[in-house]
Amino acid sequence: MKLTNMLIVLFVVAMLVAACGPSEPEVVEKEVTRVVKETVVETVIVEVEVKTETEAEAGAEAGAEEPTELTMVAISPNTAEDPWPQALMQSADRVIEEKYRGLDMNFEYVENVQFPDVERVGREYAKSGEVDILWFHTSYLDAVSVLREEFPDQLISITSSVYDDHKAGSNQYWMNAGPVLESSYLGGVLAGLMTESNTVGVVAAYPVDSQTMPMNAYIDGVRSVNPDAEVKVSFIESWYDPAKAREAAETQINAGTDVLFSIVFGPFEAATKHPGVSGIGFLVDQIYLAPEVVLTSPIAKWDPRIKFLIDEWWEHKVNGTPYSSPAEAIQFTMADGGNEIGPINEDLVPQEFIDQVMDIRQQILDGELVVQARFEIPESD
Amino acid sequence: MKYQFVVERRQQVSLWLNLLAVAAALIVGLLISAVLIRGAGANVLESYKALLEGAFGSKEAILESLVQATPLIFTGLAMVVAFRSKVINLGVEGQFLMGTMAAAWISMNFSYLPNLVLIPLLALGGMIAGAALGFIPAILKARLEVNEVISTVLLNYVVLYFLSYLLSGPWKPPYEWLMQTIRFEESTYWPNFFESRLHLGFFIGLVAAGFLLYLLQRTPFGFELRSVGENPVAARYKGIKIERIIILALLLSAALAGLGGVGEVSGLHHRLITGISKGYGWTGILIALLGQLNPIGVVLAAIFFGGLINGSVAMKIHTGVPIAVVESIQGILMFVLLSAQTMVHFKLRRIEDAE
Amino acid sequence: MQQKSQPILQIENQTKRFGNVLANENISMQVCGGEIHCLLGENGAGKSTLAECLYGFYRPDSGKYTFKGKEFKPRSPRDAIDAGIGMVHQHFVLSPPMTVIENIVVGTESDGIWLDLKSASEKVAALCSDYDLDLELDTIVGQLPVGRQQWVEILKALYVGVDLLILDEPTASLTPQEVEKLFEILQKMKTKGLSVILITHKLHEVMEISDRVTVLRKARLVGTVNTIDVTRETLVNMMVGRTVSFQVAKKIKTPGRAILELRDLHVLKDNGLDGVKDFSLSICENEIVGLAGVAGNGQSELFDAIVGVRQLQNGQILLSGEDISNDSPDMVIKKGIASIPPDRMTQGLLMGFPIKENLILGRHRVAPFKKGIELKYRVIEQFAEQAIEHYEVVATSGEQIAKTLSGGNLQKVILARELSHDPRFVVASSPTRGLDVGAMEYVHKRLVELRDSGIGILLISEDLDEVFNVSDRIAVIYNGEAMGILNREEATREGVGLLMAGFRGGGG
Repeated sequence: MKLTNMLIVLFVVAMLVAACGPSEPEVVEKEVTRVVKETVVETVIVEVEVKTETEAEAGAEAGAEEPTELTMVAISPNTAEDPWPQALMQSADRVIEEKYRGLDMNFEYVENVQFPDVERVGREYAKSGEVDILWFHTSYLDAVSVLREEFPDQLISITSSVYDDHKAGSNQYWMNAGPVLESSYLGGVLAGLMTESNTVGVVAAYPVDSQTMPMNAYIDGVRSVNPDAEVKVSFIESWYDPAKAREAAETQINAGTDVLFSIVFGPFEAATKHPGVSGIGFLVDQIYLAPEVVLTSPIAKWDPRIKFLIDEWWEHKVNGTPYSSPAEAIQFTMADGGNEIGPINEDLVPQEFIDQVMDIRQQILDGELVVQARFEIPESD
Repeated sequence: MKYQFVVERRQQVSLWLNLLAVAAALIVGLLISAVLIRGAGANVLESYKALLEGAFGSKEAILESLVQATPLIFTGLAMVVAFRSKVINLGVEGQFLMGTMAAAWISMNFSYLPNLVLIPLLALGGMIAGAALGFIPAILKARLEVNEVISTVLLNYVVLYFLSYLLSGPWKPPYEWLMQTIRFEESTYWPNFFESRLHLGFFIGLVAAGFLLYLLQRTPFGFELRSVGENPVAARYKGIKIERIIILALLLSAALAGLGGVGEVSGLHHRLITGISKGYGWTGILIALLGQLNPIGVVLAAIFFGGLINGSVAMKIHTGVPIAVVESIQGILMFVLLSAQTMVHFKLRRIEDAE
Repeated sequence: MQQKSQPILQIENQTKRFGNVLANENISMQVCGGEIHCLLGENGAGKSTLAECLYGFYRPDSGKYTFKGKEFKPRSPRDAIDAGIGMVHQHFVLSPPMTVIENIVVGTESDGIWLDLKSASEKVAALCSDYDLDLELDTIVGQLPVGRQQWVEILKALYVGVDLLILDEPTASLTPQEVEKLFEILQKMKTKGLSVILITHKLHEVMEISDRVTVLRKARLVGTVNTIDVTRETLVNMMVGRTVSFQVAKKIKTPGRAILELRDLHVLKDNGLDGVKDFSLSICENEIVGLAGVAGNGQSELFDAIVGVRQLQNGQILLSGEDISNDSPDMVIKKGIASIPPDRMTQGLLMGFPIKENLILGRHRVAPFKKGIELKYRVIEQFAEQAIEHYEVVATSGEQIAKTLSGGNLQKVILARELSHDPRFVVASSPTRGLDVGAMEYVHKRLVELRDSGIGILLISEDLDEVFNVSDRIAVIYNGEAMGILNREEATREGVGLLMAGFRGGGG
């Protein structure tokens, strides 16, 4: 027993020593610099190798120095079935289909990455040298702030705001997380037209910017066609809790709401139980979820944002332009293709209302109507 | 002549047999996993090479595997104390979170103190917080004979909801929309080593393992703790105060879990967020069993599992094996290893049939 | 005269191993129709294994059975019962909340799912009158005394019509009167032409009831003899392989001052009912007081009260005049009371721990085993070595895990632990239960040595032989009450037996 234990301890110690080498406090300074340099040198070498490869391939095919392939990886805590990643994946599919800039694009969505794993997983991808655009979920800023320094030649994108002393810039690009301003307004217009009880509702997750912006747009849309309409607002204080969302929806329905804007998952289930109550989806076309309830859905389109990143990467890759992200969020309007009102359910909505919504959509596209982004927390009437 | 086999229990299992069982289990586990990898359309050998290199293939990989092992060492040790005393503490997850909360509270309120004061203060605070949570089921079991399995499990939820409450209000900075605290000041950081994420927590974990080994094997208290776990009736007849041992065992177990929580906050993430524990408390049960309820075994099992977690990301990235398969492989390996440890206590013997 | 009938059962060359342990080696024996055949041997000699193989519980590694002229290969107890072999285990396999008739019938009606209780009752009632058994068939089994529960077990076998009944240590928990009744039943079975295999290690039972005896020693067959041809001494020689004295040599000692006094003790059982009531007894220096009684009459509660694990409701315990009532177990140990618990595996030992740690349990917080904050394993190992040698524990070293030891050796470990530290008083409960003759002799010798050295001993035992062998005075407990105390010289087995059954006025 004793001997075994000692052997095991010895083994662990030996492994540690072998792995880490001796560390003497006095030379720490020196070692640090050396290590950092080594890392830099290594990265450069890797980069060069990659380039030669690409050059060789490209040269053989087209005789130009232009890249032909691109890999984009998105890392997120959400499962792939969630509306948010669905919207991202659908956008990526469209860009792939389009063969933007002649590129064969690979897109991979890495789901269910938990907070403690983000930095490690992100580093592993960055280290592999195989990922051109590394996209992080909003909540991963801690990891991004480390990896951005560690891999200055890696294009990193994150859909998040800024905190403390850390800002978007250099190789870190900031994509706004809630890109459904105008289409939410149009959803509101439809809700305002459709309501018979003159009461409409919104069920949302948290009172945060990415939620309050579409909420306010929706409310503005309702009021634009139906100034007297009452609006009910619920926050379920969770990103994903169908039971809570259902409860909140029930409460609103009992208070007279007959059109529910569902920014979180769950309210449609409540709506199906009450004839005459309809709903509006979010981020992706959600009519398939409840065809007898869902009128339409404001759709998030990441296409122009992805293309923007590809352009930045192209510039860096071909011309060696250093990455330099703007410090502010990169926004695209509906006119720029940043969001869109989804298909309208013709079984539920009369043609005249569809026409009316489409008219207003055209006004927005033409610049005649500008939807204001408002972030204050809405309250129930 | 016909033969048949009977299964019999071994009285004692030698070290060699144990090692042999581990080796055999690994081979079986890797073979089963190979089928999954083939099914996912990847190259088996390349996948395993990526797994091994990702886990222990370079200095960086080894250090990162140790980072992954760190919280598991603590929760594994906590479970060792629990299993050895047969006080089934299933609240390690909650006690771990208590440790993270204590570290966060100290970090937010005492960041003006010098680092050298904060390092031990954080450790102490985490242990006290973990132990405080452990005290509730301990006193309930010792005084009222409330089953600790239920009380400890339920307290996990209490802690989880309390953490959610703190992070959705009192501890959340006003501009923040994620359920997390601010990033703590550098004065509250536990030191990192070897230019990596490896932090003080790992070394405290090693010391804790050594301490626990000494405590269990060399002190009267450890002897009493093991005795109560082995046979509480005999222990009581021979003058051991069972209630006292139950309370102390749970406090010790919970304090170790809490200390692990501090490591994750002060050594690694430097903020508190709801998802800070990936179920480390639950994995600790497996680690303790895999480590044969021996503190040194726990350290080895945690490093093995840390390597597995770390290497599987590399495997996924470099060979395209889906993450679901990667996670299945982790599960398969744990399963075969634990099965082997049970099976090693039995043997097959061939007997002659009478015919 | 026993050889007249044909052998009903023939066992040829049975061998059975458990791991490396040989339980039966090449054993052959015959049982005749209409005979009572004792299977005699020390604990671990392989008696039960032999029977359980025959009953289909285990499968022998090799060997052959011929039963009623046909080859017989039981794969389960069901096969054995179908063939006509029944078995009554030491621990009954009855369902306490069910009635007698339900217990007898359940599992025997192989066709259909309905119980025909009525015709079954008639059949069982007939059996009862045949065997002169006074048993209400509608009584709940759990409410019956142990002796009658055993009847139910026997009736179960008779009901399905067995030709051979195996009884494994059937008298272990019976009063002398109950034993007598059991033997009457067995004799009746014999006259009806049934065969009985009686497993036992009690010689007087063998002499009293059996026709033939087969003796096993250390997994091997010693031989089969006709009972009338042998004496107890020959049988012991066959069993143990050497001569054993039954009477422990005892010097006459005059009891000294009272060392332990129990005054009007009132102790509750776990279920809150009275366990011990108004129990008074005092034990002097130089004296062994035997406390006889049928199991479950308050002995375990009394033991618990003395060692401090059970609260006194009332009364006092004095050790040399000092009140130790409700002292905690560790205080009791410190004050010099050594205890040998009735159930050594659950109450006395840490079966998964090495011998050396078992030897210090209870003394692990005192010098020389503890020094500073540490256990001194070197001292402990030395102590273990000495104890193993001195108490003749058969073990490789102090490192050996307790559960690998035999019952007798486990008891020696307890004796070594309890008696090595100059106790002032010893309370020993069933200290030889399940031990073979050799080990039993050893334990009795140690107890008498202690008594001779001036220590007072309370020997709680259900085994009357033991009580009569070593005690200076004999007390009887029934239903938690002291039934009286007799000097060894004036006590008779019958008198004590009556007291044990609750009849006051028995005794000398």
